[in-house]
Order: sequence, then C-alpha cells, then structure tokens
Amino acid sequence: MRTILWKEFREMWVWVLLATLLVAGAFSYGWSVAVNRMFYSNGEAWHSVLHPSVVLVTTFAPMIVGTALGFLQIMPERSRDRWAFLIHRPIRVEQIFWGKILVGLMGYSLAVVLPFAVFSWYCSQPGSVPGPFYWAMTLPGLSSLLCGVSFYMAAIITSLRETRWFGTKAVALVTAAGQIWVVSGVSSFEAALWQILWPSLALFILAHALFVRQDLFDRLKFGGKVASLYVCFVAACTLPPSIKFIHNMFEKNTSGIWYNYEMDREGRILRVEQSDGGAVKIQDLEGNPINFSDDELLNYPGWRADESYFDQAGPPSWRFSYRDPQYHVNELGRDLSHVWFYLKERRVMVAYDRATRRKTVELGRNGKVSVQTGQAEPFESKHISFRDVRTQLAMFDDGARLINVLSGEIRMLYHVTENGGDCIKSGAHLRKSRVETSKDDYYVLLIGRHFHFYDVEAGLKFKVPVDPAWLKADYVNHSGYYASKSKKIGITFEPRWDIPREKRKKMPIYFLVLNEDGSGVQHFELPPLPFVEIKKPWTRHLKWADDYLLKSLHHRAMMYYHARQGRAHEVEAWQKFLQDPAKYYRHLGWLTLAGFLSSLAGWFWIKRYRPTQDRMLLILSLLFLCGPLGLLAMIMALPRHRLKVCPACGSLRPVEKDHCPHCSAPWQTPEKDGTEIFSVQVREERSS
Amino acid sequence: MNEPVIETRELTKFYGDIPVVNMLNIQIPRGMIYGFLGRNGAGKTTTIRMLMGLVEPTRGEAKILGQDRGEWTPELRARVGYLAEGHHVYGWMTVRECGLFQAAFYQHWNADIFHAVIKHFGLNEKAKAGGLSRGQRAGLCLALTLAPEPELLVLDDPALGLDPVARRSLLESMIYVTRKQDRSILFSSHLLSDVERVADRIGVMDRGVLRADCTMEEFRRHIHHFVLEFAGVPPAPPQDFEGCLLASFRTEEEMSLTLVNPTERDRETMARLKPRVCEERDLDLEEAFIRYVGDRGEKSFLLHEMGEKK
Repeated sequence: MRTILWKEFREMWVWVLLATLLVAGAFSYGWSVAVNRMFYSNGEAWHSVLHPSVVLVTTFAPMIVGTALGFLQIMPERSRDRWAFLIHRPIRVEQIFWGKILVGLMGYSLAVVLPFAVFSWYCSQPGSVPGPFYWAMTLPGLSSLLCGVSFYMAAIITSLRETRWFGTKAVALVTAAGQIWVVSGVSSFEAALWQILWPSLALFILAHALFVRQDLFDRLKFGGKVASLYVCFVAACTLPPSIKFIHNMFEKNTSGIWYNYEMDREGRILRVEQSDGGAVKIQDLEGNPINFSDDELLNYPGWRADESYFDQAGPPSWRFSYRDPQYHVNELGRDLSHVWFYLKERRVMVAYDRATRRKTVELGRNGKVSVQTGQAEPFESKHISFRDVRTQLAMFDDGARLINVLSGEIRMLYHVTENGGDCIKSGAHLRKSRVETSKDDYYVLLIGRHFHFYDVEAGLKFKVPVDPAWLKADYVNHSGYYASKSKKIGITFEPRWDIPREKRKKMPIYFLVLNEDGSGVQHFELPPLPFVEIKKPWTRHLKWADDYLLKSLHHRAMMYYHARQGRAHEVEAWQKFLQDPAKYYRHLGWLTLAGFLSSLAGWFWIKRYRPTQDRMLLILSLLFLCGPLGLLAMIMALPRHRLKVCPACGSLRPVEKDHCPHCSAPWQTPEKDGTEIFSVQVREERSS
Repeated sequence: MNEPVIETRELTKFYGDIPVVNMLNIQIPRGMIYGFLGRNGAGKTTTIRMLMGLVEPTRGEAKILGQDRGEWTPELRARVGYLAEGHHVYGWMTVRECGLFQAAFYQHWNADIFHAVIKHFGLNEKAKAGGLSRGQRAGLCLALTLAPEPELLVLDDPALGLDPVARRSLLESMIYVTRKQDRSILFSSHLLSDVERVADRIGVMDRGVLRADCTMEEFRRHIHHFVLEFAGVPPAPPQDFEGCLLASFRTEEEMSLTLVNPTERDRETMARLKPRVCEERDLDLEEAFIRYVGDRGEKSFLLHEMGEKK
C-alpha cells in the first residue's frame, strides 16, 4: 500500500502543484475583480468568499480540478498493458484503489481546499474586507468543494466504464453536475450536506466496484449494482431541467417587448410598451396613443416594494439560501465614506470605512457608538429591511423605525404590538423629487388592510383602505408614483415576478390613486398585461416536452422539493395543489400512466433476456415507481446483451448464456474444417 | 495429483458480433511449457487476458492453478508471473527503482535473478526506464516477472517487436532461469521459431478457434507436402481430398500441395492426376506452421496465364 502511495504521489505531484497554482491564481484574480469594483458603482467586495467572482472560482475550480485529477490518475493507466502491470501484483485490488483515492483526494485538497482555506483566512482578517466576515460565509464554498469530490469519482468511473458510447460512459459526470446543481439550490448547509452525501456515496461505491471488478453491471456486487442504477437515475433526472434550461437559454427576455402601467405627471394611468431597442409606445386606458417628446412625461417610480419580509415564516424568497451574502449580513447601503451593515446575530448596525476596510462605528438601540469607545446595544428584533441608509426607513419584526445614520437619531414609526399586532406587509419611502429627499416626502407602510402615510417627522398623516381582494400572496409587488403636476399619488399592485408568464398574463393589475392629502381615493382593476412578449426561439418545438413531461413531472417535483426546503411560496402552492382534487388526481393519473408505459417499455426491453420471474417483477415495479426517468436509467445502467439465433430452436438467445433460455440447448462447438491436430492425450481430455 | 495449472472450458469472448475466442477448451499440466501460437488477431492475447482476469469472458470458465479466474487473490497473483506484450514499466522510475517497486509487493523476491537478467541485458541500474530501448525494456520486464520465481509464467508474445538479437537474448534468459526450475509456462507468439526450442506442447489458434493442441513432432507429422511434376501444364488441384488442403501452388510443369491429415485415398486422388513424378517432401517446423496458419487457397505462377492477363 505504501509503495502504491509513493508511486501515485510521484506521478501526481506535478499536476497537483500546477492545479494549486492555477486555483490560487484564480482566487487572486477573482478577489482583485471584487476589490476593484468596490470603488465604482455597486461594488460588493464585502461579500468576500461569497462575491460572484470568487463564487465562480469556488464553483468551477472543484469541478475542473476534481475531474482532471480523476482522469489523470486512471486514463493513462487504462490502456491494456499498463492496466495489467498495475493490477497484476500480489495485493488486493482494493488496496490499489485506496492508494489511488487517498493520493487523489490529498492532491485535490492541496489544489483546491488549501487555496480556499488561505483565501478565507485572509478575508477573516480585519482590514482585508470592507465588511463583516463570518466563517459561515465559507459554507457555500465548502459545499462546492465537497461536490468536487464527486467530480473526481465521476472522472474515475468515466475512465473505468467500458461502454460503446461515450455519452453512457460519462453518465457519472452528468450525475456530479446534477448534484452541484441541486446543492446550489438548497436553502441550508445541512440540507446541502445530505444532497452531497448520497450521490457522492453512490459514486464512490460505483468507482470502487468498477475498479475492483473492472467490468460493467453483471459482475458488480449488490452494492455496486444499486450504486450504478442510482447514479444513472440521478443522471436521468437532470434531463427535464436540462430541457428547461436549454429552452430558457434561447428564450431571452431582452429580445421582447415589456408592458406595464405607469402614472404620468398629470396623474393619468398609461399603458407603456417598451421594446428592447428602447422605443416607447404609450397609450391611455382607452387605447388612444399619447405623444411625448421626452421622458419627463413619465414619473419615475417613487418607490418599489418588491416583496414583504414580514408576514411570512421562514426564508421569504425561494432563491434565498445560505449561499446569499444577505443570509448572514444585511447590507444597508453606503454613504461617501462608509458601507453600512446590519449584523443579524448581534442585532446592531455597523459601518465600515471604505478606505481602511475596518469597522469604525456601531449603531444600535442606544444610538451611534464608535468602536473605540464601546459597543452598540442590540435592537429589540432580529430581521430588518433597510433598503438604503439615505431613506432612513428601517423595518424590523416589531415595527418600522426611522434611523438617521449620520446623527444616530432613531425614531419609532410604527410598533406592531402597540398597534394591535397588525404586521407590516411592505413599506417604502415615497419621494416627491427625483433628485433628493424633502420634508414633504412620505413614508408609506402597508399594514393590515390600509396604507399608512407618515411625514418625515414620523407623524401619521392619513390612512387609505385597500380592497381586501388585492391583498393576496401573488400581489406583493407594489410601485408608487407621485404626479407632480396634479399632486396625485398612485400605487400599483402587480403580480409577483416569479409567477409563470402564462399565468401572469391572465392576472389583472390593480391601481390605487389618491390625492396627496389622502382624499379622492380611487381603485382601478386594470386588464392583465402580457408583461413581456418573447420572441419564440427554435426551442418552442420543445413545448410538448414542457407541457407533458416537465409540467406533470418536473414542475410538481420542483414544487415539492422547494416546499420541503420550507420556502413559503412553494409550501403554499403545494398545499393548494394537495387541496385541489382535480389537479391532484389528474397529476396522479399522469404519473400512473407514465409508470405503466415505462414498465411496458421495460418489459419489451428485458423479456428478450428471459430473466427470472422475481427479477422481472422487481424491474417492472421499479420502473412503475420511477417512470420514464427510471427507464432511461435502466437503459444506461444495464448492459446490452448480444443476441444470436439459436441453431436448435431458431429463437434469439443472449450469447452470454451457456444454454438457450427457450430450448435449453447448449452452444454448438465450432465447426471442424479438417485442420484439427490434437494429440491422443488431448483428444481424451477434450472428449471427457 | 498432476492438476492442470491452466484449464478452460468453452471460454468465449465476443467483440461486437465476432467471437474472437470461440469455445476454447485447453488444459496445461503442471511443469509444461506450452507454446500458444497463431497469427495476429487469432485470439491469443484475448485468451491470456481473460485468464489473467483483465478481460471478462462472454461465457465459459477458466481456472488458474486450480482457482477460478474470477477469484484472483494476492496469493494467487504472487504464484503467477505475467509479462504483457507491451513491456510496460513506469518510465519515470530508474531500473533500480523498478526493482524496488516490484519487490515491495512480493514476499519472495530473488534479487539474484533480477540482477542476473539485468546484467544479461546490459542495463544500467541508474538509467530511467523511459529511456531504455525496446529490447532493454523487455529485459527489464522479464527480470521483474522472473525475480519472484512464480510457479506459472504467462508470457504474452514477449519477443514482439524485438530485433533478432534482443529476441534471442530474451529467450535465452527465459530458458536459463525457468528451465532448470521446472516451472509451468504459457508462452504466446506468432512465430513458431520463438517456441520450438522450449515448448513441450503447442496450441494453435486460428480465427478464435483452437485448431491444434499437440507436441511439435505431432504437428509436423500431420502436415504433408507433395510435389507433383507434370509433362505439361498441371491441372487444377482436386477439391475432394479427405484431409484438408491448406495450399496449392502451380508453376508451368509443377504443382505442390500441402495437406493436413491426408489419407490413403488422398494419395490415390493425387495419383489419378497422372503426374510424371509424385514426391512427398518433408517440411521443417517453421514452414509447416506458416502453411498451417497461412492463407488458404490456390496460388499459381503460370507464365502463359500471366501472358493472357497482359
């Protein structure tokens, strides 16, 4: 074993060194991109290990290095003489496998984990990152690094598998890609670990089984067979999302036309069409075209409250996960010299100097405190939504506050428990000027069934009732407008962004219009808008797959999957689905039909090989449960037996079997051609 | 008692729809040197790779030293030395490191044999294996295979690609080390001259089928070569021989026929052609082997036909 380790080390060290240098270089480059951007536009250098340019490295480096090391360790030795030289020695083949795996994983750790660890340590040092750093921020990177092990195993399997077609050979790589896809979508690291564990375990078992047995399905032991089927099944499961991905890739929103309702400076509600070229077509609600000379005709949205963070349990957005920097820390905006953050654990706001990248000030219940003099006291509640320090509006679980980060002054705008427990659904700062805040601005909170309008001194000016029909979970996007000429305020209730386009096209849009003193409230229910018309790509031909395969299988599965993650919208959608018998039974019917058809196809496939009754029953049951994806997995995993005509009965029989499964006849010995020369002794042996 | 060291039963391997080894039955007793012969692509290497557990047979069974080929234990591998045809060694190792690397796996390692073979091939222990010539690399591989003194040696065309000197050198070392220790050897080659000095018995594969399994003397005895002289142009060779006509060759006045297992009736058939002279000539072993495995059918060198073609 030690000798194998030595040999593997000697063969791999150059590659490992090269990979280490490349990965370290990639981290350095990623970090330099992140740091350079902080001085321009919306830099997010404080994301440190979660910065997109770094995440790119932590996502792709493990994939590339893992795959490369796996191939480099096996491929060169796989040619037949080299393999024979490696394998034919008086130790157990498992020991050779372990020797390779240990060196490979050590090499992988050196090449990928070490640079990542060093980089994380650098980010944790004060003065390195212009923002707070938590070690928990390294968990997404760590999960990607663990996925790299799967790629390593997958490359070993791909090198070892002997199949006719490379696509079937590379099925393990597809599984590893599917794994990293799933892992990047789960909400917590614990969930990610489970998603990493099972495929990795299956890939490891299969790699071990193939290495030791050096052949495909038939010679594998039970564990190897199960692992092979599982790996192929996971790979097959990537097919529906891949179709969806390809479809979406060609369906670019930017090539379409965008529709929405806006309010102009006169206070009229207008239907606006914008094409990707920037051309704007405006109509009033009667369909009459409105001419305009410049964009001054339109208001800019005074505020936008995309989503409520306060009336739902659990992570609010289906994309929100431990991979988001905001999961750990909220960035609250920046002024000229500082970037502000809210630390969820400590419930305080902190400011980092943009030049020195060090923490300078804390802000809490007791106001502003310099870090040199002490610590701020925590706010009473944990969650916060604070879009921009300039708006001053900060919303917590227990209510809304106005926080002036320059002076440290904190004023309570609305307290949930003091006002009967009505939660804040959304809130925003409604500015009347495009350029700067003024003392005439409003702070608007949607609480219960009313919009509450506050002045900048935190005084409640008036309340406006909202039609209860509008307060649905699908309508959490609000935009507000201030018409400067007519002194009117308009608020839209638009469908959520993540609702499927086909459904959105049928949902009306609500518009609330009122005077700036709160009088003259009007409720409008406006016709649905297409939102965006998309030029149909060539992938429209995949629509049947989208309708029948994806909707009935993939979409429901994804809904269930995200509901299991505790994502509020999907939990609600899943509950709705379960409570709708028509939909539920129709879906069940689809699944049953798919299972039945898959079993039928499997039966046609398998019956040629005349398996035992028990085995046939097992295969058909599995196919019924796993459906078309199970069928695909079976086709990929099971070897295709060659069939020859039986000379005795004329039926097709697998060449692997000694006896014909139809007539039990053995194979005929090769025909004699008269050249046979066998010594007497050999003839006796052969006849016996 | 004298259990065969290698035994196969209907061993078969398909590549695609072609049976490259077709129902091979073979038994090699202990202590025998068995020459495994055939042309390129006859199925020798596939058979050996199946025996060594490197290729999975499509069906059939094989036993090595009494154990099923699928159950290779470390002990069994220690008892079987295998030299593959490519003479692979790790190029980055020196000759000495190759020896140390290989020795680390074996409980029994005869360093004297290793050094003797190395010396015989004139190898420098500090030379990188990657820089050795093909013949030297073959010598190194042979040293690595012989030093553990295995009970059974399986040599897959060890002299393939070597020049005559290196080929002779390799065979000499092999004979020197193995012959006196009464080891069993399965030695494949596509040239009979490689094995004729050492083999006790030979097996000849032809397109996946074992056609001959006998001693060399028996092999030679079964192949007969007749030369028939005619007054004019010889007639076409008869097609109704009881034995198998391997090849025929015609010139302006002469026809030669090579047959396997000819009978008295075949001789009468030849006599019916009324040749001026009918002579049976001896073939040496090499010639007999080439005729046996060579292309079948008639060849001619008739000047008048060539003129007609022109």
